[in-house]
Amino acid sequence: MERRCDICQENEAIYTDYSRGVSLCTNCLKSSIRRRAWAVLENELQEGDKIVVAHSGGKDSSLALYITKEFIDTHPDMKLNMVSLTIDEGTFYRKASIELAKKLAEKLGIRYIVFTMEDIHGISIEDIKVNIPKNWRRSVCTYCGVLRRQAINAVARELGASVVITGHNLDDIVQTSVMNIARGDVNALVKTLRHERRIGEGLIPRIRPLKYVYEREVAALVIALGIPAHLGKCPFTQGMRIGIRRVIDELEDEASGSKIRALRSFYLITRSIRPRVEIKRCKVCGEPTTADLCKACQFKLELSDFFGKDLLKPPSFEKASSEKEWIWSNR
Amino acid sequence: MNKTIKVFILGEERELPWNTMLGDLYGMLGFSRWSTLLLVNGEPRADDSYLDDGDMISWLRITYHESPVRENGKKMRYLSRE
Repeated sequence: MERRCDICQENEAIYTDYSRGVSLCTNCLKSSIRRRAWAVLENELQEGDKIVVAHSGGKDSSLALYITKEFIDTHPDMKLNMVSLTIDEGTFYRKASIELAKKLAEKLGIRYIVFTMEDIHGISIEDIKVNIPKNWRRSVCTYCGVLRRQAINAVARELGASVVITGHNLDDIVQTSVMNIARGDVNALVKTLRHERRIGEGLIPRIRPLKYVYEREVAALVIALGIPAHLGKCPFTQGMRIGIRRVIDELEDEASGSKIRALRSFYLITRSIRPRVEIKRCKVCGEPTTADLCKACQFKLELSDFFGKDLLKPPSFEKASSEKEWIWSNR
Repeated sequence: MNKTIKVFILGEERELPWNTMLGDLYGMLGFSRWSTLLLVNGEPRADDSYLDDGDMISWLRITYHESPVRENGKKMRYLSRE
């Protein structure tokens, strides 16, 4: 039995938005998501920006790429340029998503570039998984997150990008914020939410156009529009986020709109807090950090014992330097 | 009017009241709507849409971070479909 869209009253509804109490068709869902995402882009992008989209090939980054491309095409006066970048962590899971990422980039006419974690850091996540002891206090996700984040920032910087766009959605950001609160790390909470253009030398500002979009909305729209995206699950997933996610989801079930209200509250609360951040250079690799040794180098030092060799060396960007000219040139 | 409809949930035929909405299935299957998206004939559908006779229901895990099934031993068999 067809259920019509509450907004246009024409097409079949494909998604129920509990926070607004309406069911939407593909077009109206897309308009609703685009309105929120474009508001972020309009606010945070600047004329002439060179954008690197951190594109894993999953649903979130694929939709971020798709929406940003539409934004660029409809704002030619801003003279924006974008490329799609995948960091291949070296998991078998990533292979399928790279194919889909490439397919979407080609479909949208965007330059696409892949860097492997091994190229940059000299190790892959698969290697880490194999070498760390069972029941080790850190999960593979912890290493993967830090090494991947540093790789994205460093590659974007070496490519000459002025901003990085990521696919983080509302659920991701609320979970991370609550995790920071649970850890008592107010400084990390402020860093999660604030994205000033000038954060520090060597750090490329990040923009998250989907920050007011539910993960569920992203999934529904990606399927409805047939956007090529990998919908599988990372085989290594574990960690604190699972429990936090469950609690937040239950809260959303009890009171629709809790996630969005929580995020707005976090922004208001942290607005008056000045982060205690002094950006320095890592003594080993020279990457930006708040400590003497960046987190990636701290982890490489820790992992060296398990690997039985010294992993502590600066990341390599030979490929980024050689691709820099080509990647931004006009087609 | 039929009092019941027959739908296929993960290939298994199930008889449901004629006025079952897609959203009702989340509770029936023990799925969290925030980590799972139920699809009707392979497509997303509003949770407040009624199911039809012969509809094929499948599910998609939308998060990397959690099982689509709440901690409910009875429903864990669905995990083996992954």
